[in-house]
Amino acid sequence: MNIRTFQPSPASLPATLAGDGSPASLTAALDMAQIQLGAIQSVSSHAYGRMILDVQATGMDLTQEATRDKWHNQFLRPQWERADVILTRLVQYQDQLEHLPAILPAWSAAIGRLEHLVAQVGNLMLELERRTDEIFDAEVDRRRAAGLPFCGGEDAE
Amino acid sequence: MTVHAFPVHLGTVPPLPCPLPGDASPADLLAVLEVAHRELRAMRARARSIEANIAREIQSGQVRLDCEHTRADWFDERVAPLLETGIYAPAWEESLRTYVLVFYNLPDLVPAWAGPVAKLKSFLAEYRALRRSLEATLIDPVFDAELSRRRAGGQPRHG
Repeated sequence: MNIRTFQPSPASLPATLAGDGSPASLTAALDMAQIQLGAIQSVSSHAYGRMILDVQATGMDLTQEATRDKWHNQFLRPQWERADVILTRLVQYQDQLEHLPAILPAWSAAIGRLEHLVAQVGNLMLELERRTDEIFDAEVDRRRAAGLPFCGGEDAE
Repeated sequence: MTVHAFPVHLGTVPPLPCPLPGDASPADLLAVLEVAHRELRAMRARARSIEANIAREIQSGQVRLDCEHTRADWFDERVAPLLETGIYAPAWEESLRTYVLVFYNLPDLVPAWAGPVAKLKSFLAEYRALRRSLEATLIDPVFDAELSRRRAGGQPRHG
């Protein structure tokens, strides 16, 4: 089994927001988060493609959980962990800033963008969690339709 | 006992702004605190004015000084209403609660707010100390001082 691994750069966002304390301080961190999220999405898309190709090219048992876990951990888990680092920090920002617009309305737009990013990262993590199963299940369906073996070398029914 | 209004106008405390005016930077909080500090100084002046008026009136010799009821009446009927409007500032309480909720931990995430939030904390401490001290000090010390003065002068304790 030839599993290719991806070694992306680690994700990180600052624990404190630099700048003059205006909404621009948050905006700068959100710009950084947006770039890192884009990188994770890009690497993830690449990983999906590579996983599909590798799954199609090998004669592994596609129904075994351990096989799926192994491939998930190699291809998608690193991206999930990077996204989790970003999400954790964004939620920390959210916890500390969520009341600010009540007294400083000019922060509303930046905090709205923060909430949107939290949702985006959360959705990406959900996608990463289910994508391995989707790819494996699709390959099982494809082999079954083509009358190819999909279960550790056994012929499909 | 007949209770008369104080012959001074003590004024009322204007509310603190909520939301804050400005561009949502730390300078906005500093500007509000500057105004609030001026108001706090005015509150102290009002408290001194209340105290002076109590002293003037009891020195007129018409007030019984050694009766707890007299003191309680004075406080309830003369001092408390003035404190409510001129010093306790219920309008401040609500906005200060919001300030605390929003700003107290903000410097942990945005260090640029550390200075203004430290000033907010110091302001709150001053304001609360003033509130705490007033009830305890406005009546008894003034009455006790007058009582001592009368004792020393061989005057009666009540009119």
